[in-house]
Amino acid sequence: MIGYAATVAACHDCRRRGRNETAERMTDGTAASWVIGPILRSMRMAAAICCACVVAGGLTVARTADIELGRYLSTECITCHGTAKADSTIPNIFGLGESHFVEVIRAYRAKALPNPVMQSIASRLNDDDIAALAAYFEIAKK
Amino acid sequence: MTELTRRNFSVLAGASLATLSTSLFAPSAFGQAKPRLVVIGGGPGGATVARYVAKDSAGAIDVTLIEPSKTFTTCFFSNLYVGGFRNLKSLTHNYDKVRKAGVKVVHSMAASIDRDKKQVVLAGGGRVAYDRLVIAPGIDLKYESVPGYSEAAAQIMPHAWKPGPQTELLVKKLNALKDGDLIVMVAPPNPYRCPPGPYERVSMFAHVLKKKGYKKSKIIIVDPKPAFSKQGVFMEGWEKHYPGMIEWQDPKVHGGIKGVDPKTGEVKTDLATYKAALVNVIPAQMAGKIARDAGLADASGFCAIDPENMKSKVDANIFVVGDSSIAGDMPKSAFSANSQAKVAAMIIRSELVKSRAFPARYSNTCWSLIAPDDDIKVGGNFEPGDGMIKAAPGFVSQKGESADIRKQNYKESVDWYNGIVADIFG
Ligand SMILES: Cc1cc2nc3c(=O)[nH]c(=O)nc-3n(C[C@H](O)[C@H](O)[C@H](O)COP(=O)(O)OP(=O)(O)OC[C@H]3O[C@@H](n4cnc5c(N)ncnc54)[C@H](O)[C@@H]3O)c2cc1C
Repeated sequence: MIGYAATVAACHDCRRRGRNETAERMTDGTAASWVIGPILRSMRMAAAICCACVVAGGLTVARTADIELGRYLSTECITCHGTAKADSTIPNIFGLGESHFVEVIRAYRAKALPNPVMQSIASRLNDDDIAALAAYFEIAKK
Repeated sequence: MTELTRRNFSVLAGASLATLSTSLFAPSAFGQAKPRLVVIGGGPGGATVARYVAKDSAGAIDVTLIEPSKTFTTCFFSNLYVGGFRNLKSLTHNYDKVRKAGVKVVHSMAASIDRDKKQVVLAGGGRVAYDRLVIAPGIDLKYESVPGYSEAAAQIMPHAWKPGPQTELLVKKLNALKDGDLIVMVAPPNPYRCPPGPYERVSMFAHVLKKKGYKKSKIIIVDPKPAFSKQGVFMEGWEKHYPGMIEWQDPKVHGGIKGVDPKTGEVKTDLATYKAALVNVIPAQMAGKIARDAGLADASGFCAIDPENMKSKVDANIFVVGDSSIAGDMPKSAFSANSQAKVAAMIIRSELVKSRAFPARYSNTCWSLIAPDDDIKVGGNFEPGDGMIKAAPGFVSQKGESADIRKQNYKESVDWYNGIVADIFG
């Protein structure tokens, strides 16, 4: 566990790069990313251990944000949020900061924010789902 | 359309992925260029599957969409056209961006499906081969479910349950009414597309009559169902905005719908015969003809599916999405069709190019406008369970809600419309 925590602290910078590379594999042609070469492969490994740390039952647990899952789950969000503009009632969520995203969705899940549609959608997202979505939307562009 | 960052995209493009992926995946090993997906029907169900598979597979899957019409006018929001809030043009979309996503769009009717050869036969006789087929032809109307009604009668008593000319005819007749004229709606039995749709439409009829200052006109709904979607909040809204104008009759009241006569404009029930200036008949419904002809529908007229993936229970190479499917607790809506399409697209990619598969999740929300800025909603989540698509506890607008909430709902519905049509058509 200590090892994980140290890695997270050390690799904050590579985190985004590693994640982008993971993101590349999200289209099907990207079997190619397996053969691009050792540099990307090592970045992918970095991505795998770059993670959000959450405290559960007194233990620090490493949680990897699964961007591919995030992309699948995001298709539900895009139905309504895909074309949001500055003055829309349904707000833009692309490029939203990861921690802000997590905070807002958790608040909907706890029914601390109003709007039954969002409360309903958040109700079936577990912490891994929310982390995956947050990681995806931080880098995804419309 | 969602893209990852430009940087990612260029890395992707530079790696000549199509070549690499085809050399890695099974179909090419047997000499076939690429796995082929064919989609029948370019509505919310079909166009969404086609576009998602094309864009997410980045050229690794050959995607063909078969749709006779060059444009698609949405049924959703067509009630807002009836109420004068939208024009038809704002509800009409083309397939340019679907094409841009990499889909071959063939403007033709699919005449039949040769399931043994895995080919779709086009109206002109041509054949299109598939590895996976998606069918999303929407609904057909069972005209004869209302005695006296027929396709010809629909020119006098429009159903307007399929978009375009029928909706225009309905609006023309609505706008020609004089004060004191009667409107009768013959509502459909379950299951039908858009459960709150008939009642939103009646609200829009009432809005138009009220706006014209009509005091004597009435609207009667003869319903074969004992209850309907969002009933409490609809009825509260009708009393608030249109007191005394709308009368809803359930079977206990009218005793049975005996039939309609397009020549005289009459609607007969056990209780009474009404002579109406506008009759809107919404008959019973079934899956589109192509799905029934291919043997995919059961006795209900709709197509049984596997809730985990939207595959036909009859043929594992065929997926049925949207109104044609038996989607358990999910209502037949554009929202549902789009949600089901995304599950099907994800599974199809996993089968054809071995991308990752995830457990199916579905959702739906339906907004309905009762009067200007007074909009109600119903919705929730759905997941596979007990062999069907099952609803988790959902939500529905409540009686006595503030005007602010209802106005917010309306704005939300407009944003949803813009969002979902971009998600379907690009
Ligand atoms: C008045 C009204 C209001 C509505 N309001 C809402 C709403 O607010 N929200 C909501 O979510 N839903 C709403 N709906 C429901 C929504 O319109 C439908 O559920 C949705 O269109 C279903 O999508 P689909 O893709 O299954 O079928 P469709 O939209 O019917 O599309 C089917 C397509 O298949 C094509 N096709 C058929 N047969 C063939 C063939 N043999 N070969 C090739 N192509 C073929 C047709 O040309 C058509 O383009 C409303 C419906 C109505 C009538």
